[in-house]
Amino acid sequence: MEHFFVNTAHALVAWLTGLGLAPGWADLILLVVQWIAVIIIVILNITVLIWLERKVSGFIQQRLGPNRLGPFGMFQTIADAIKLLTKEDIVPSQTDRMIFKTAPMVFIIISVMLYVVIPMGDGMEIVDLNVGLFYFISIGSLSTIALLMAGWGSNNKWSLLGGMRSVAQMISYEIPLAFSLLGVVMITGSLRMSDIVAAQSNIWFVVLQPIAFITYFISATAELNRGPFDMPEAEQELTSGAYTEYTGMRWALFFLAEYTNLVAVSALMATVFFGGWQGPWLPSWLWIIIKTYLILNVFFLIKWTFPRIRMDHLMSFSWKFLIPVSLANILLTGAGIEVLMRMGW
Amino acid sequence: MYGTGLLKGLGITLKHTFEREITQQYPEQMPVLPARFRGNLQLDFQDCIACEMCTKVCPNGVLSLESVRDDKTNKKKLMSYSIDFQYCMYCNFCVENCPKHCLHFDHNFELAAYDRENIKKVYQRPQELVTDLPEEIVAAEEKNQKRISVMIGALQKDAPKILGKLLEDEEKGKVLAAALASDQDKLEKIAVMMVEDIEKAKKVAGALANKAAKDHPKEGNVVA
Amino acid sequence: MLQTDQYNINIGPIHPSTHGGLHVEAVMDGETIVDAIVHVGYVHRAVEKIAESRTYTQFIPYASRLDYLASHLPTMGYVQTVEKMLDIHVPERAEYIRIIMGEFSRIASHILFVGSLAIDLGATTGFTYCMRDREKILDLFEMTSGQRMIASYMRFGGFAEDLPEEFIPAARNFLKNIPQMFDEYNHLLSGNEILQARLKNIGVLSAEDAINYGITGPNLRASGVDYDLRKAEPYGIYDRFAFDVPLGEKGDNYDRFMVRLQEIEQSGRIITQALDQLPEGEIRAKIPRIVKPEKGLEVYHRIESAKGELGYYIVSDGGEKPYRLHVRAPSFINLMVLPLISRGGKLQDIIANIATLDPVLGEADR
Repeated sequence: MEHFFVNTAHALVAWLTGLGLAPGWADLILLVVQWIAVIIIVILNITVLIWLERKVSGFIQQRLGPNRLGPFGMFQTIADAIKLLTKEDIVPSQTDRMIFKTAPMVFIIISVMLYVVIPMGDGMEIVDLNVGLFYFISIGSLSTIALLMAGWGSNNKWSLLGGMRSVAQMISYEIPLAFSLLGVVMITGSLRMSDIVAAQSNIWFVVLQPIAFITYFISATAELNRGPFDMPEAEQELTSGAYTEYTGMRWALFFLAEYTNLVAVSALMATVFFGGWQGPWLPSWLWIIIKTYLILNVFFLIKWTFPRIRMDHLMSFSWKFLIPVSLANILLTGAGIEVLMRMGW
Repeated sequence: MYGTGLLKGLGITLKHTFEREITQQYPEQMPVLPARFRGNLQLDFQDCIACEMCTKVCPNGVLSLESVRDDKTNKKKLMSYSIDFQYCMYCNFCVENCPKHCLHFDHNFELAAYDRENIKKVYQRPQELVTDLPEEIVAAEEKNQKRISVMIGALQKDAPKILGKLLEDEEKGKVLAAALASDQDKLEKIAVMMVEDIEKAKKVAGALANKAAKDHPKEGNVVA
Repeated sequence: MLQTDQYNINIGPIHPSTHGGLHVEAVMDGETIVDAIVHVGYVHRAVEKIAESRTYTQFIPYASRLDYLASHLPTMGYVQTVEKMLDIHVPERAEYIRIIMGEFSRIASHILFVGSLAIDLGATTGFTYCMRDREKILDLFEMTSGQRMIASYMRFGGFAEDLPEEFIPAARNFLKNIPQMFDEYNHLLSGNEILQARLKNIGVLSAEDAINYGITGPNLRASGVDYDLRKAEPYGIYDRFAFDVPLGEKGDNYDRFMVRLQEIEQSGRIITQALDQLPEGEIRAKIPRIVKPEKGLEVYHRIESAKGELGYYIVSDGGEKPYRLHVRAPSFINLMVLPLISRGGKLQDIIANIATLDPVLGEADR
């Protein structure tokens, strides 16, 4: 079971070259197959995830959650997706049509791109970039653009406020997010994901870098626009923020992209702080799924418990607390490494 | 310390996550209702003495009744009783003020209906009680019924002509007859109206004809 | 400094957190509120005019519909006003039951306040827990009158029916659970640092401003003014019970929140005492079937409702119907202070301000 996916990929390449294809072409086809697999997994996973969040929030609130369609209501999301697909696609007349229409696509494309570098098992990265972590952070920060496009293109004051909030919020939280990961990078000495996972074979980085983990967790929640930092959406204040004017599948694409981001960031958290795919007995790809889902449940619990933080508090929390703390963490890590090296480790 | 409040909050929600849910699965699991629950208003037709206490006390004009006076005993007899439930505020005044205790709320709360007509509830005097009435009223009622059945028969036979006469416009009569051909209920209603109140029948038939002409302009032309 | 433009943004009448049909026109500079203009009247039902075309008795269910979140209290105010006109003496037992039902209504309204504040700040789960606890009170109401929210249970001179047998154990059971309920709210909401940061020192209403604006009820007491009609001018039999009047210090949103939380506790105390002292006896005084006050009689009566001082002013022309009925609605008057406390705050604060002023639009628009 362990190498099921890796062996399948090898067999596919071997079969294609056996047909007389040049190795370069075979690799390209493999890449396309992997891409399609990622997209299918992402979409299937999200249908499960939305169901799970509704179920978990139901349990938190002493309700049952969806339970009408399929076993435990599991097909509810599919029914919702069908409903959204059949809805009328409304583009309000005063919008900036081009921007309005492309924003959801930009958002979903960016979020799917994040999966390229995540190791989904032993040797199961699509591309093992030598700047993997850097790639993840830089692509992740692009999603601000999509929200700004949605907010501006909708030509609605609520949407504009939502879009502007998302820009301010995501730019400020980008910094502590990157800084908190820097501590891990200093210990491993590499930005390559497989190196980071390999470095945790003895001890998880959550033990070595607890401060970095907490700052990463908080800023990741803010990056994902999840409660208590769901400023761009903020239902009770901005009606639906940047998504106010969207209907049907366009709106669903935003929703999809948000969850795609959520899974990606949780998977990265599992990779960087919780030993990635490493674990006993079970196959490696199962381990990363288990770890990711546990982290996702923590995200759910937090979202459904806390009230929303205020915008200016949010900004000052980032600039006055998280950034100094994550900088101090870098200093501490550097000093620790220096001391340990002198002691001859 | 800053943050302990947050952790306690998480503890509360986490605790409740693993508790039993408290919601009822409604259509499968019906709620247990207390004895005084106010659901659907019911009338015991036999006991009603048509004193009109309920209609007078009702704040919203939900209740209305028709009665006839029996000259021999000088007592009122209830002919029909209607409850227009869409305006009811469930204040219980009618039940409290009824001297014969013949009004009561039952425990049925599933009162949603697709159109307003179905919300209104009309009690007609039941057949076995009709004999109870003074003779001349019974006779008049029988005569009326006969006229109505004759009218329905005539309408079924030659609707365009009768309706054309009613509307004083043959074209319209034809359109309406075509529209009503498939709707026996409406046809019967118009027949009743024509017997009881010809002016009202004219109005209703006119409105229906206009609507039919609007809805199916082509069909109307074909008939014409 | 950058050159910025002011813009208007319409919060409501259709908006997730305006508690019904409230419309606030906010003049904004970025996310900062420069001014707020309150537009009311979206739920106007002409209740005062309806009163002129209904008999005195027939208006009882309409009075319940003023403040539908605490329906026994506005009914009690109306019924007591008419009793004052007719000089009816209510039996002891009925007086006690009025206190019990009224205070339960107050608790229900305040629990809903806590819940709606929680959801307006984004804490969805706090809302559902509050609704769960409120349901238990509605169950009690359903037991007594058959209606959950708008129970027209009170009548002139007393009540329609006596309490059912199972009511008193159920009520005591609810009172027993209040401390546990409080534990949950304190840990989930009032102890939460994010919530405190959102509420403390926001929407400050000074005592002078509160008095000048005619603010009443918990909003006034949160500003530190010790004025509770149940103490200051005891109506009914409120002078027989021992209870405290919780006061705030600053008059900010957090004080308004905490005052209401503590009032739940005090109402619980009153109900416990009333249940202990509850006498046996008649439930309704003998009154004429048709209520006809003397010609030219004018009466004003006020009670401490869940939202503040609720007053009824009735003029009689000697007929079956009131010549004029005016309602002094606390929600309407309390709402008018919103621009004052919102100026200079953020967009998110105005949502919290609306929530802590606790208007019920059915009463504000009437």
